[in-house]
Amino acid sequence: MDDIYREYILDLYRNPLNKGKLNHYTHHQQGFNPNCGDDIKLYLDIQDEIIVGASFDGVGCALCIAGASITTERLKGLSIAEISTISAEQLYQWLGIDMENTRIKCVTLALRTAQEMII
Amino acid sequence: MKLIDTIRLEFSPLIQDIIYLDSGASALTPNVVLDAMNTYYREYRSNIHRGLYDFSERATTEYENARETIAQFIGANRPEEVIFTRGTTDGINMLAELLQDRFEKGQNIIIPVTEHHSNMLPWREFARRQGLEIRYIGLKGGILDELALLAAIDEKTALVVIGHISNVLGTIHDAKKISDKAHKVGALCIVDGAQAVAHIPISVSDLGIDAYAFSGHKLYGPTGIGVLWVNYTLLQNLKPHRTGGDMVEYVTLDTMEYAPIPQRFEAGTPPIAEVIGLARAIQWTQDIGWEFIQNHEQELIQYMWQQIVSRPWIELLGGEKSIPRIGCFAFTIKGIHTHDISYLLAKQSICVRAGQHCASGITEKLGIAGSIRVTFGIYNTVEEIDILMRELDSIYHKFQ
Repeated sequence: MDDIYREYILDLYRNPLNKGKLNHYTHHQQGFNPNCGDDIKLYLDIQDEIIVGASFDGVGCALCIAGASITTERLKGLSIAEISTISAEQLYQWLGIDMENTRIKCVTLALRTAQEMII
Repeated sequence: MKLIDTIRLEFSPLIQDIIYLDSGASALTPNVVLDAMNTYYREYRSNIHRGLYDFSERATTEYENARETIAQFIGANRPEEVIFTRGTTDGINMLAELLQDRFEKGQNIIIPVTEHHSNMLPWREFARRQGLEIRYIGLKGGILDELALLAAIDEKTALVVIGHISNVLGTIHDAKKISDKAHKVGALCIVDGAQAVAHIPISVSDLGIDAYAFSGHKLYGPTGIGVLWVNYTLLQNLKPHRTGGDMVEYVTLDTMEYAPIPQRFEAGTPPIAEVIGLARAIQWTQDIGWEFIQNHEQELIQYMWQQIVSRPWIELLGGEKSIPRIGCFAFTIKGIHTHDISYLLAKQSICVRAGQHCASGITEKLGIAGSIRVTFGIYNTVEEIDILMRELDSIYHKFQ
């Protein structure tokens, strides 16, 4: 079995963090990977330029869902300005995986959606 | 050596230990086809229908012989009914252009939701341009509702388009019955044969249809070449949609006279090597014979059924075992995204397709994001199915 499908990723896929629409959100945006069908919606609750709540909903592969789980988890407490400072490499590190080109779009979908949302 | 082993030796990629289960997307090409194309480039590389030198005459002869081979292969009444295209998509788009302005606003076009985008989008655009009503035909019991299709045909129907075989479900549609009903009301029946030509014997004459399009690369031929077959009576009434070299008989600065059929529909220099390659691929499969091909593929289909039935976590698309089908199995595994499955299979050198397979009408109707699709070719074996299943078992257990 391939390395990137380690137990941590599979666990986040089976039991995602921050999944479901926030009761209160100020920003939301869809993220879509047309090639593989990953399709998520990201919800942020931003108060005084600080992200006080983050969640996602939708369907995706294990890497997409694990990436969205960790992205939303890490976004909480950050300022809007800090969203753009999170790199893809940082995300791989949090997930504990070495990424391959073919799957980068899956893992980073939620992060890219958040960064596009606040531009 | 068994025939299947001899066949496999023709396909260089198989020597690299890959398990190729994506022939429905594009079949591998045997060495004999590569050799035929190579011979053209090395020995008689020239244009057709032009030069008076030997090379050009030989190229022209091979090109026109290829047309005859193909006409015979699909049961056409005459070789002139065979028009070379770039592939199925090109052929259907070409036909949609050729058929413009023949119908009246308010007529309708019947399109099954099971159609590949190549036999759906050109007709949607056609309907928009010509003011036709689109009548989609849905699923029943997981497959195309053919009875609903027949019932939808009425006196206002202009066109009925149908895939001979669904590229997702693998199910074979009754093109003859559909065509007969279409003709009763004066409509045309156009068939996408992309998934059929490599797997079942075709006779366009017996089917009684008006047009049939297919690609060379799904028939063990090269890419970039396809065929649009059109019934000769209809063809005589169609005006060439592209003009240029080789499609005119006589030109002055004020007039032009079309070349005979089918040349008038093949403007410009065609992919000559690919035409020769496609004819060689057909000869090669015909030397092996339909009896072997169909028996072999049936063995694979029956074995695949057994494997799927013994794994209740595999959810097969496409209805019951009794429904006639080719070696095309699309399925989902609950709780595992298709992209994860295809990626993990690819890591074991198993090539399958994941996603909507260019037929989003099916996924939309079934309410699924996509499926894994396994398609067999002449070279696949039961042993390869075993390896596929072993890997699927491993993936399934990993995700539990």
